[in-house]
Parts: sequence; C-alpha cells; structure tokens
Amino acid sequence: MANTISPLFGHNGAPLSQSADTARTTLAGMWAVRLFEEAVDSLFARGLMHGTMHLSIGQEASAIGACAALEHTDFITSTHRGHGHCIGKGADLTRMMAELLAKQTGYCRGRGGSMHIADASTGNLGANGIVAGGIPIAAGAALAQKMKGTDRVVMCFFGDGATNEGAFHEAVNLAAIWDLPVIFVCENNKYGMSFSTEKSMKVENISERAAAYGIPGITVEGNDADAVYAACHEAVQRARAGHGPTLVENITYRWKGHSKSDKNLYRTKEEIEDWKHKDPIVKFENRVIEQGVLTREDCDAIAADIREKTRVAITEATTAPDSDPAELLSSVYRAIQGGN
Amino acid sequence: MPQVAIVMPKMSMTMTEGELLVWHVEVGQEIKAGDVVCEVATDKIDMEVEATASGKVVSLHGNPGDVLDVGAPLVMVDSVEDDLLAGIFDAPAAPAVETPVAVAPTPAPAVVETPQPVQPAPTPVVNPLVNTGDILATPKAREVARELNVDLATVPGTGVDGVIKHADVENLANTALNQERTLEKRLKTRLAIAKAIAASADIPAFSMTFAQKVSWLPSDKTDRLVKIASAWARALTAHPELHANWNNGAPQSFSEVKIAFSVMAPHGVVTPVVPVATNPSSGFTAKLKEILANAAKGHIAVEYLTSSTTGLVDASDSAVVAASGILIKPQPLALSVGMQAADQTLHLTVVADHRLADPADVALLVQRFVRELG
Amino acid sequence: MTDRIITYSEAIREAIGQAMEADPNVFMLGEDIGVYGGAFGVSGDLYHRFGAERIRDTPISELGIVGAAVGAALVGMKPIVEIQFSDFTAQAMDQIVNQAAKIHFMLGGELSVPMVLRAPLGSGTGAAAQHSQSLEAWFAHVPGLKVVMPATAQDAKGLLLAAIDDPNPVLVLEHKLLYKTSGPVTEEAIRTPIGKSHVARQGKDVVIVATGVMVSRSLEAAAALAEKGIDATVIDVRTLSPLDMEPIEEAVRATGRILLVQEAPKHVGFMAEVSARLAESKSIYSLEAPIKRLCGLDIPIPYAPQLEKSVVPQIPNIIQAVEDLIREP
Repeated sequence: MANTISPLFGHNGAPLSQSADTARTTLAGMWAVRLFEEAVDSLFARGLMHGTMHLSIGQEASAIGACAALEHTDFITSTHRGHGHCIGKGADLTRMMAELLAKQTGYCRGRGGSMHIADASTGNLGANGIVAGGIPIAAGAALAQKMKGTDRVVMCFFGDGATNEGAFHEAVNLAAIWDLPVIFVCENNKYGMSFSTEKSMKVENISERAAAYGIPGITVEGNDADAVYAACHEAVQRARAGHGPTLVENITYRWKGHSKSDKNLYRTKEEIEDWKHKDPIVKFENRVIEQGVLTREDCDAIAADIREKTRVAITEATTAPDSDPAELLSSVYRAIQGGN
Repeated sequence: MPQVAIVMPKMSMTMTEGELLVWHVEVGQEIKAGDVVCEVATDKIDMEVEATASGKVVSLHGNPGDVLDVGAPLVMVDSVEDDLLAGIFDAPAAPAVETPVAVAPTPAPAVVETPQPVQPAPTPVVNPLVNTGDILATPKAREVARELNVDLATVPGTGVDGVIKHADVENLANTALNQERTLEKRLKTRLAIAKAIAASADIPAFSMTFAQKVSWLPSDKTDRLVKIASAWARALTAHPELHANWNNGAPQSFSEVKIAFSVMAPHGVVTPVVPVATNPSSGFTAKLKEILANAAKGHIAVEYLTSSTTGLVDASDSAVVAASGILIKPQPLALSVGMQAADQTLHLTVVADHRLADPADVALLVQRFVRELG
Repeated sequence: MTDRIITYSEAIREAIGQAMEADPNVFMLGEDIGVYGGAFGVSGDLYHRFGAERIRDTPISELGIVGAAVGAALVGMKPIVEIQFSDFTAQAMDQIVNQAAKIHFMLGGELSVPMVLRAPLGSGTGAAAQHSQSLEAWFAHVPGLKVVMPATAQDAKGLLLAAIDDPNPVLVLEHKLLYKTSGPVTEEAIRTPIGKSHVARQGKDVVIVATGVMVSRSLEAAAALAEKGIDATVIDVRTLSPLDMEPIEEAVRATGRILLVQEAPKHVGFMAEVSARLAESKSIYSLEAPIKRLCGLDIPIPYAPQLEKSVVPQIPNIIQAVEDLIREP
C-alpha cells in the first residue's frame, strides 16, 4: 500500500491557509519533509545509512507550497536537495526510504540513492546530482508539452548556486524564446555549499536575472507556504496559458549543513538560530490556528499521523530485500522492444 | 517520561567510530537540543557532539579515552522530545526505553539490518570462444596440420590454455603411435588392394607348391632377394610362351621381366615394380635395397609404380611354407618363396594363368628356376 | 527493396524524413538546421517539408540544446540533435555524460532517454584543431551511451533509423569527408542493426579493422594489396558501443594478423580497446604477429593541408602497414 502524502491538486489559487482541507494537506506535506529528513539524519548518525544526503529541513514551505500549484499530470525536475520536491509531488515515503537504505524496492532499486529519486508515476523526472543539470531537461520536457499540445507544465527546482551555471542561462533562454510551459523555482537558501550569494553574484535578487531573458521574475518569502503558492500558482497559470516561463525565487534557509560532511565553518550559530525562528511549519501552524482554520490539536494530530507514516516507511524499508547486484550489467541500456 | 539516546554520531562519510575525549554534561543536568554534550576525536577531526534532544541527563555511557561505535548511546536523556526511530531498531525491547539504563561500557545498538555496500556482482565470464567448439591453434599449426593431414582435434596443445602450436602437430605426426593416421592409411591400402583383386578375379589361375633342395640362400635379405629375383627372371626369359600377356587370346611375350616385390609397409602390403635383368649389374643390389627400404616406410617413387609381368613374395626367412598369391593383371605367373628347411629344402609356390600354362609347364619352369638358383 | 546511388548526406536526410513521417514524436533540433539547411547541408529541405516546429533552429547553446533533447526524450519525444561539429559536444558534456547516459540506470530503469545526437567528426577540411577531432572514444567510454560511426551511405541511413528506434541515447558520429560520397542506398526505411560489426571484405591473409572514413580507405588499400597477392579482410566496426568483437576475433583466428586503423590519436583511442579485448581473448594465440595499430598522431589536427594529411592514416600508410605486418615472422 502506498505510503504517500496526497498532494493538493486542482486548487483554485486561494491561500493554502484559508481552508481546513488545504491547510491540512500543506501541513502534512511540510511535516512529511521535515520528519522524513530528520529520520534520515538520525539513521545516518547511527551508521544505518550508507551514502551522503542533502537535507532541506527549514525549506519545507518552498517545496510544498510550489508543488501545491501543480496538477498530478504536471512534471517536476529536482535537485540533490530534493526530498521535499518528491514528497510534494506525491512520492511514496517507503520507496524513498528504501532507496536511501539501499534496497531493491527503492525508487532507483538502490542505484541512485538520495540524490537521484525519480518517479514517473508522479511526473517526477528525477532529482539531479549535477548543479543545474535538471534545468535544460525541464526546458526540454516543457518543449515536448508544447509540441504535443498538452496543457501540462514543468516545474523546475534548483538552488541559488545553479544560477551561476551556464546550463541555467542556456535553458532559461531557450524556454524564453520558445515560450515554454516551465516554472523555474529557485530555492535561494543563501549558500552554494559554503559560498554565499552575496559573494557569488552581483545582483541582489536572483529573480532580477529573469530580465536578461525577457521573462517575469519574482522574489518570494520562501518560508511562507502561502506566499510561495501564490507566486507559483500565477506562474503555472501563465505557463499553462502558453505565455512562457517565470522565474520564482524562494528565499529560504537550510538548517543543516550542505551535506553530511559539512562542518558549518562558513556561517554562524546565531544565523542558524535566527532562521530557526522563521520555521516554515511553525509559521504556517500559527497562522491557521490564529485564523481559526485548524486547532492546535488538529495540527498535533497531523504531525502525529505523519510521524507514524515516517516510522512505517522506515520499518517497511528496513525489512525490504537489499538491492541486487545481479541485474546491474543488464540495466545499463533499456532493452529494445520486440528485438532489433 | 521516555528516555531518548544521544548517540555517537556519524559525522563524515568514512567515520565508523569515535574516541570520547571529554564530557561537557553530567548526570542530572538539564540540557537542550544543540548543547554540546561531549567532544570526540574522529578519523578526520575533533568534533563537538551536540544534543539531539532536550531534557534531563539520566546517564552517561563511556569514559574519556573509550572508542565507541557510531550509533552507540552516549547520553540517555529524560525527554519529552520525540525520537523518530525509537524502538524501530531495538531488539525485542519496548518501543521506548522505559527504565534507566545502567552505565554500560559500549552497548552497541541492536541493528536489525545494516545496509551493506553493494558488492560488484560476479561478472559472468563471456568469452566468444567458449561455445563455438573451435579448436585453439595458431595459424601455423593449422597450416602444418593441413599439410600432414593431421586432425587438429587429436593434437594435444602445449600452449597456454591448451593452444596447439605447430610443433605439437609435428610431434604428433612423427609419432609411430599415430594410430588414427595409420588406420586411415591402412584402409587406403586395403581399398587399393581390393580394387586390384577385383580386376584379377576373372583370371583362371591355379597354384602349385614344390619342395626343392637348393643350396643355402644368402642370409642378407636383399642379397637373397636379388638372387631369387634374377634366377626367376632367367627362368621366365627361358619360357617366353609362359611369360606373356594373354591379350584376349592373342598372347604377347614380355620383352623384360618386371617384378612386383611384395613389401610390408606399416599400413599394409605395397608392391614396388622393379625391372630385373637376367644378370643384374653390380649396383642393382644397392638400388633394390633402397627401393625396398623406402617401400617398407610406405614411400614408392612413381617410376616403380608401373605394371609388372610377375609377382614375387620372399617369405624364406619365415615359417611360411606355401603362400598362394594372386595375379595382378597382366601377370601370367607369380612366385612365392617359403621357408628353407633345415635340410635345405626350399618351398616354392607358383600361381599361374591357366590360359597360358598347364601344371606341367609350371613344373618345367620351376625346374628351370631351381637350376638357375644354383 | 530498391537501391539507388545517393550521397551519404542525402541518405541521412532521407532517414530523418522517413522517421518524421512515420512518427510525429520525432523532431530535429540544432543550430542553423532550418532555412540554412545545416552547417554541412544535411537537413537541407527538411525545414520546408516539416516546418519550424519539427526542424527546430536553436540558439548557439549546445548544453541547452542537448539538455532540452534529454528532457523531451524523457517524456516521450524522439529528438534528433545535430551538433555542428563533434568538437562542440564538449560544451554539452554534462547533458550527454551525466544526464543522458545515466538516467535509465541511475533512476532505477523506469525512465529512458531515446535521444539521437548526430555530429560530424574528423579532419580533412582544413578546419584545424577545434573543428577536426575524432572524439568517439570519449563517448564509447561512458556506460549508457551507444556510439555508432556509419562508414557508407547505406549505413548512414540504416544506423540512423536504428538509432531513432532505440530507446537509449545514441551518438551517430558522421565523418564529414563522407557526406559527399555516394553509394547504393535502399529506398525503404531500412535498419542497420546497432551492436554488430560488419565484415566489409573477406580475405584470408590479414584482417584490417577500421571505423568511419578509415573503412573506405582500408577497402581501397585492400584492393591494392590484392594485386600484390595479399588478401585482406576488412571489418567495419560500425558500432563502437556496445562493441561486437566476434567477427574480429573470428578473422584473427582465420588470418593470424591484424591491423587496427583509426583516425583519432593513438593514445587511449578506441582501437586500444579492440586491441586489449583481443589480448584478453583466446584469439590472441592465433596471432602470428603482434597486433598493429595505425592511428592519428598524438597531436592536435593542424591547419595546412600537407600537415593535416600527414597526421592521420592515408591509403598508402595502410598498405605499408599491412605489408609490414605480413613480413612479420
């Protein structure tokens, strides 16, 4: 049985915090990202997880708020810090966990790990270990939609660091000149590994770069799920209507290091503490409680439910068979159907 | 209140254990998540271990200098905070640790399943040669095998992995024990003989065996043969009416005596045909010796493969008394010489074409031969 | 099946046209392939036949173009990318090597990248070091890519159509000197199987293994050698990845002498792999003489025609190399 957080599809553009249903779904999604990654962090700390991973704890509103603007049939491309995008698009927590635990039942049968989760059934074209690697791919997937005449869009996630890569510029330019249905979502968490955006670029906001390609760019408070959703909803509508791409910049912050070998030498504890006070989950909970949409008990119940789903994911994944080396050599190429 | 373990964290991709350097907390102290609880030395760097949960320290596990595995509990905390993994990786124990844990040396976490690094699969050995049934041989070896008519499948290769080198083929060809090859040649000989016999089947032949006292024959085989052959040649020359080609009822006498000598080669009887003069020259013995020696090895020069006027079998050095040979066209007569008994009696058998000779003719001829033999 | 004599370029164009007629998901993208007709004139009139959507001109943006093709292929399109010179694939290497080649395997097997990347390679046009390389070994070294090098007009068509059918990323590396060469080409949409080496000439004294333009040069050399009483087998590797060694090993077992010819520099070139595989196989015991390679010099391709010609194997070099090989004890 699938162990997923059903994403919010087909929403009308109203703030996510406005109705109990959308608030629940949004909170569940953010909790799922948070708890999944905390579990992964603990598993790694206890030596129970094999490879490295990149955690997006603190950035949950960006992934969940952005994906809330999509339909089930839309596509995403993701990044090395991609658990949130996968979950936001409806991935199965057990299969994600199984992948990280190197199991045969994992999304990549143990061949990809944390950085490469893809899920064709939810339109997830894959997380990517190469900074900016997914951006031209997103443009291409969007080109295919345009050529096929569908109304599907592609949401392309990347970080601040990717916008200094040539691939970003080439892909955004292609998407712009061809009016492709793609939404470029930059999750600006201030650091490309250790190098801060202040040092790595001269523009103040990454969204300003959109002007160079003649497309709209907007900077959003990325820890506010409502704000992210609003900007992305508009960008999606625009793309779906055939008016081309938008660059949405979500300002956010990762609480954890870049990867498991990060010693946080490039930032202060105070800065991290400061951003922890801007916890996107707390922010959203406070809002919905304040507005009387949900009660504290409702919110706690949601968290408890997700906690259980996360534990189920760990338990199920742990007991799954290890990934099988026997099939590796025959898996490099896709077999040609019907011979020749 | 549930107890939560703060464990030895894995802080780098390669870290498997850490050495506890110094405690920064003590039992009973209230700590909150993010506080430094101790310092550890890892394979790369000395690190501060931060509390992953808030609450009251219940117990410390280990002393400075202890090396603890990644995942081993360092500090137990009475905490309201959640441990997502609580119970999942514990052995049969309760979901959360309910009773204080005594200070224990290094209790390793009960690991249900530790992900193993993927081992490369044993690659199936794919060698295009394996299933082709090909024989491994160098081209030179193949060439030699073709020349010597050697089946490569019978040659044991001495190269790496049993590859056949040309020397292997030559060695096998030179071995007398090349059974297969001898049998094959023997069959060829039998077929040739069969063909000749079939052609002789319509000759109405009869044979007569005589026992005649003669002087001792020479002990040397070739000398003996030369002596017998030349005597026989003289006898035949003296009887041109017998030494003739029937020629379908118009007999023609042969102008010279050409004897088919029967010689045992490795694979069967061969019959080099040699003209024998009534008085052989001094070099004839050596020449005949060479011809017969070669024939014994199976080699006969083309010039000795012509038709014969008579056949000769010398079995005088054996226990054979009478050997009734056959007539190979156009021979009218053939002589077999059997053993010479202790009393010097020589056994002679003559096969004759009845169309040209009666038994009385043969008796006269043999008398002449014995006289010529001296 | 009807054969006509057409050029290598025309054969490629015909293949693309037939593939596009048969499958609406097939489209082409690249620089100046539209009204201009392609840097080497390969796309020609396709723009007028199929329009700007499906014969898609792009900015000068190799990484973006290949990436877009990867993305389109991921969601069911069958893009044919034209890179003007194979040298420019260096600009797009991330998308070729880290993305296209890996996606099917790395992401667990659900997705794949049925993309074709066509690029002209090779020297002989006086275009110097950045427009004349033979980089096939780069791509053959990457698991997940298929690499073909058509040597004849017929194979230019057949291999391209097979590449378009293939659910994996296929690089079709075309030698620019071959574009104007002609040969019999089947009119129907024939397929040349990917992953099969081809015996272009059967002989008994020596085997010459070649790729790309070196195949026709080797065949000409073989014809000259025949007059000298040397009967050479010529094998056109056709597909560099996945490599089919069987006909090569068979020829080695039959002849005992092998010459490997490539235009690319010798050091760590494709023929080094062929050589190594032979050395690892039992066929090596059939060798009467050491394996011989005739390759481009280990230097960048120079501009001046006499310099350029001296850098890569020419027909007389092949003849000489075979004669040297035959003289080996």
